[in-house]
Amino acid sequence: MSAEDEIVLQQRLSRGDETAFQETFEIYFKVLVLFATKFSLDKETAEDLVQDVFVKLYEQKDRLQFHSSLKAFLYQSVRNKCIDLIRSTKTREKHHVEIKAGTDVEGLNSEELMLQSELEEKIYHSIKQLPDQCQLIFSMNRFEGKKNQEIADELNISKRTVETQISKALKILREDIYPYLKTIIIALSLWLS
Amino acid sequence: MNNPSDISQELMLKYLSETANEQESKVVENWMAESEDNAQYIQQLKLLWANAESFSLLESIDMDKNWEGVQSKIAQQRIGSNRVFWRVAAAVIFLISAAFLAKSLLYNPAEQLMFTAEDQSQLTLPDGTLVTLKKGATIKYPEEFEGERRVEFEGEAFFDVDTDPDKPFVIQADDTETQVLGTSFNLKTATAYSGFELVLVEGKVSFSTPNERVILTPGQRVALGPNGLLEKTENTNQNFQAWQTGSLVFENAKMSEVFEDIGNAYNVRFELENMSFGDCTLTARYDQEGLENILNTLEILFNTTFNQQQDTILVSGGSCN
Repeated sequence: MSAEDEIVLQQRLSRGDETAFQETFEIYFKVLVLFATKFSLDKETAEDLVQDVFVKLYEQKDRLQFHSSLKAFLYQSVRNKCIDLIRSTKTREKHHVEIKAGTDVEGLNSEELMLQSELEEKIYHSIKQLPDQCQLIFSMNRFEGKKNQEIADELNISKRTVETQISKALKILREDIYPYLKTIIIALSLWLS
Repeated sequence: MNNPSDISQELMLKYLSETANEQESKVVENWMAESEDNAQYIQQLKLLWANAESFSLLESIDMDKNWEGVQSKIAQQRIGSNRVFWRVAAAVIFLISAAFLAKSLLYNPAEQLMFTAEDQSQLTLPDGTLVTLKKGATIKYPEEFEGERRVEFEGEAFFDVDTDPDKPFVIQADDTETQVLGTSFNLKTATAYSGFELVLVEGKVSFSTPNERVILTPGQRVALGPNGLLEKTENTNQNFQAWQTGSLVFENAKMSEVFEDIGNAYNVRFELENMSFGDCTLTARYDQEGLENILNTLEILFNTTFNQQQDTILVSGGSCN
């Protein structure tokens, strides 16, 4: 989403355009849930929390022009709610939310987490664009943790075809994501290594 | 860059999924060391590989379910605020049936704000109307105007009312009502020493008591006469706004009027020992002078002395020059 598109969306929202609210939801909901899970929240808690942020957006949409940007408003709101939740949960000794051990709220770099979430979401969309068989094989390997031979047996194809398909997937993804990768590779490669 | 042909796909996948043994890893690392391009290529694939992990999470988020979740939360919030409304409404009905509640409490269910000026101050009302309040003036207004713009007022203030023909602006003061449609005027409610007065600067206002109603045009003034009836006259007093502007102008003005104007501008009251001094006249202009300076010049001009006790100033001596 370009910066200009976002400004237009923000303006439509502040005018009370209901379709703009739904569009914002479609664009941002998943990536914000992903972002919230980076604060060690489980998926259900993260979903609930991001729903609340959208309720807040709905209520405050006419005052949105006072915020620097729609995106900043959303990420900041999620971040603040996450931190509040972690703090209150910690003090209530892990009541409702499972917080991974050693989550240091103050030590989290939200900007880095935001970049990472965005990248992951872009990769997600690229994977969804892959040709069907390519996507299936890539998922079986990458997400179901299946060995290439197992995939070959299951799909009744050669192991070599499996490998070619996974490489093809990686090649398409890399080309898709490349412009984005180039800009953030420095920031994230430090974190990855 | 294309897929490098000089490294096997199997090997690369093993390396990425961290299932390569030491020897296989070594081969990939050596290949990476061969060129900057190779190194960057593997780096990018690693990044891609690692960050693809969220695929399953993103895939498992049910957008329809969550959209419904958001919608029902928004609806709940509305019901929540309606519930408050019904509680208020129920209380109101009960109180009406009890028939004990003062009218003013019921008047406006919106949150009422009250402001009392400790010093001369300017206040912008929710509709954009600018009110300059004289020290001691009090205004009561809702947090948000719904329909009619109604405020309660006591003291003296200059109102610069924002035009909105659909929403009349009504000022309730004592048992009078001033209704305006975009205008500016000076309104003064009665005090122990001076009566109620309204001077219209521009626009049009309708001023009413329970028994009477007058319509003012610019330059006119209405005051409550000694007989309790409204008196509408042309405003001849140039100094009605002096408390706000800080400028006082006198042209052959009788000292009794001069003292009244100065008193009104500075929130003091003069008492003349020598009543005939009130008939002397003054021509002068004071701009942001301050009370003390004005009194000093009058002392010299009329050979008089002033003695202030709280807000009352005793005037001794005084003779026309």
